[in-house]
Amino acid sequence: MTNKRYDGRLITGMIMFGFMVAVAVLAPLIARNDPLAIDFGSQFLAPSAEHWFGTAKLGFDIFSRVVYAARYDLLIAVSAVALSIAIGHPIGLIVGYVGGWVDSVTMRGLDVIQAFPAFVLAVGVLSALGEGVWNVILVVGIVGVPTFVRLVRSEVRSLREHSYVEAGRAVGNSRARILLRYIAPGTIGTVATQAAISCGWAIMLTAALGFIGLGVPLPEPEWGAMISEGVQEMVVGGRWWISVFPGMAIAVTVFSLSLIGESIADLVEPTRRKSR
Amino acid sequence: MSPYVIRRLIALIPILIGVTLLAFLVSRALPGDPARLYAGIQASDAQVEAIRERLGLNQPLYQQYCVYMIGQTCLGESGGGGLIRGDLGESIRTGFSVADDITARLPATIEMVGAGMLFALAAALPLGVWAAVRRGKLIDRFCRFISTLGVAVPDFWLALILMLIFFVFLGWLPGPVGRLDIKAIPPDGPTGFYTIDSLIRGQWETFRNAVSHLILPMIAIGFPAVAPILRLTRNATLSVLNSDYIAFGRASGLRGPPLYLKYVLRNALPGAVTMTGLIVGYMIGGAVLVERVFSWPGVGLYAFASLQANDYPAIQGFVLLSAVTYMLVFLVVDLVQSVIDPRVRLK
Amino acid sequence: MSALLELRGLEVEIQGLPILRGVDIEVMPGEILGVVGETGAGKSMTARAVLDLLPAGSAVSFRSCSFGGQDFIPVKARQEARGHRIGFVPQRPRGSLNPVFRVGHQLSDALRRLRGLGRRAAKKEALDLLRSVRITDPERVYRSFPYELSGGMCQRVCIAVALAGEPELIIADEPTTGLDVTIQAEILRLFGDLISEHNTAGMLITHDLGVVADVCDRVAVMYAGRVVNTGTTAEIYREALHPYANRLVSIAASLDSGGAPREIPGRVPNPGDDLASCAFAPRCFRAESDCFEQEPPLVDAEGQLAFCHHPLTSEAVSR
Repeated sequence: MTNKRYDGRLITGMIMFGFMVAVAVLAPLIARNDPLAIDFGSQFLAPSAEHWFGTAKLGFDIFSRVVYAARYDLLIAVSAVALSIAIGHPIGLIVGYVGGWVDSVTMRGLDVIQAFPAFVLAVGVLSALGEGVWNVILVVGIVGVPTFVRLVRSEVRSLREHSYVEAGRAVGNSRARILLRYIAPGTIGTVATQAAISCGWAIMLTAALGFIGLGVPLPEPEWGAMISEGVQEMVVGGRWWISVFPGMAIAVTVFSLSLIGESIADLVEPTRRKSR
Repeated sequence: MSPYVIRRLIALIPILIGVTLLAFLVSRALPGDPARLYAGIQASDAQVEAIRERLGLNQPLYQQYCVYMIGQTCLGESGGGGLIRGDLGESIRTGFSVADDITARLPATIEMVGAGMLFALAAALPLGVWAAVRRGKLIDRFCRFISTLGVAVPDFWLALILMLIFFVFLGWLPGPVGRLDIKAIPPDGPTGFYTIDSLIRGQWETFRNAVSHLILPMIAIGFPAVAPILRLTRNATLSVLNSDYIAFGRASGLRGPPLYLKYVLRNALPGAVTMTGLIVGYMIGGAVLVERVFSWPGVGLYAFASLQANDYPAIQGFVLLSAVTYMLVFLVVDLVQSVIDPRVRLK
Repeated sequence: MSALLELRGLEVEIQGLPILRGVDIEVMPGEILGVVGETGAGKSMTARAVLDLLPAGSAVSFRSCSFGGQDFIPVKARQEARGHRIGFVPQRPRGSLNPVFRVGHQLSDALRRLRGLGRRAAKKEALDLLRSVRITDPERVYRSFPYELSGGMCQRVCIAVALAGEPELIIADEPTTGLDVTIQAEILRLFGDLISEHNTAGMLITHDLGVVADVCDRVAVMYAGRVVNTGTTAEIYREALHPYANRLVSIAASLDSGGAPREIPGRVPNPGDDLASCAFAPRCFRAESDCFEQEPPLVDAEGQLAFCHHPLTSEAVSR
């Protein structure tokens, strides 16, 4: 009975996220205009049949820009999470397995990084690095590393004591082989769950950075930066459409990812379900 | 001070050193010329050289860190400076000391974040307990939906939507002009929080004004915090409700509001309190975004303006102070924790 | 003399499974009734039904239920009796005290709630209560958190809480679970003494017949959701009518005299199993075909009552 409901959430999340991915991939087919096309004759138009989401300053077509921005935001988020995993997963495996001073030093290092509020750290580093897609990926990726290290580390520490790992050790496997063959596969489930959650979180972070002008350089379309463009127009001229639509795109994407993350977490860890 | 507090303080020291080291490395070791970053874009070559000299950028890195931390004392000279004396350098944009700039704007941010936190707790704690008590019922599902949604809505966008509805469309609340109407005179009080100061001075009109300006920023910064606190409270409450001590309490005649408000909530609280610490970190970041939307003249708006002006010393000062604040909040959270759950002190 | 607590035909279903199948129990004023049976016989559920503390998804029905002359079928009556008229002593005492409050606070809170005492009066009364449960340094215990106390000490505190409302009946649900053997004996003796000192009645739920022999006046033996045998402790120990009760007693006796542990063959039925007319019949050494086909009659002999076709006495007369 409960199973069905969880599958429902997973499927809903998958459909919504799949839709956003499709939008990003098929952007040239879906968008009705060039997202960078300037048309002074049609600035600040309200949504209409011509411009579904209206137009912004310089006559940018917001619908086309929201569609194209999916490319930037999803690309940045997915790459950043991939980077977090590429760095965090091996570190977590090693410090979890080796333990001792390697572990303590690494954990104190993570404590230091996590002493900074994530967004503030990203702002600090990015303001020194300068804007640009690759820098955003780098910064969002690095800020996400501690989460994966801690997750994998604690998983390894519990797997290490399992009897099948003991058995592997008894048959004379090398330490490296034990870690890769016996322990590493066991960590994939939780990493995948966290990846979905982190992806939503990376989109939020990217958009927040874009909102304060620290992201993809204008005039390239990015959801956060697009919301920022509309602040003045909304307050002064009541032109709500400039900020509202990009924000909805963020909300839909992140909502779908957290649905996916939550339902996978329940599947991977059935004990969690009991507490629900 | 109890041994527990002392232990916690000692554990803080290496992290504090690490934080300053990291902040220092980010400011010096990144690609690009730190002297130029510090001098600002419009600075002449001579000015850049002067900055290089003053920051000691031609010296070895360890010596630079020493100067960064304890100022000229490190070089055996008298004179002040250094982080340890609260010197964060001078802002290029305002020309004032960054530390003073931030201190002056702190009350506005604390008032907003504090109100946001109260809003989040006031909404999430009762809802969490209610959802757990009526587990699986409509209210529980509603709370689940709210908490999934809360994670998905960007706070700065929510700020805009709130303003669109309550200012642009309905006109019920003031627009983004800061903490008071433009013509209003700020209350002169000891705390720097306009709502509290105006109350102390008995200035009702100013109080009403300050509250009306505070409502939307409070909701915008508080709403994202509702989801995690709600979820945690609900799960903690569930396990408390299934505990032996609640069963015994019931058998001894405890029921109704005293049972839930005093006993269940109190036992479920520690988790929510820890979460509160994490959320303050989130809110410090969120303040940059939300203050920008509402032109709220706090530390976040200062950081935003500094970013626009490439005012690097100000940005670094903000980053470092955020980390220190965040750590102090965690310390306070741990101490509060040890008061509400005596078992913590044993660990 | 009329019974203090009298319940007839108590049936409980949890999520559709029958847990209690018509329990009859009565507790007389001033006596201690021992309720005995293996795990799953329904002892705790009987007590919980009296206090309306059954888990979610339970359905309860009584043929009749009264407490001190009051109709106890309405849920409200049973809820309002908690703490006030019926005190409760829990299993697992350490987990049953709230970990984040000092012991004294919990006890005086109960006193203020149950007796309407003021803050200072409650504290004074709490210290008196701690003293009355034979705690030698009540001031220190009053200021302690539960995790600072031993299990036996926590159980004394729980008993004090149970006494706080000056109840007419105290139900103790396996009160010695998880305690050291020496402490177990102390707690049971304390329970017995307090019942007579405070002029109340007691209901002691246990799976240990040895425990019953020490403190109880009468015994009710439960099996598979029913009371199969009741009688005075002395009668039950001399020669229990019901074969099941009889075997329990002889096992307990042989354990006491250092004999090897023996078991009754077969297993306790689970809720929802198909039961014979007499649920014990498949395990019974005296069972005959009628035990499987007809409801066992109520027999009354030697001061005992039992539901059995073949009770262990020739003089038993069917009623």
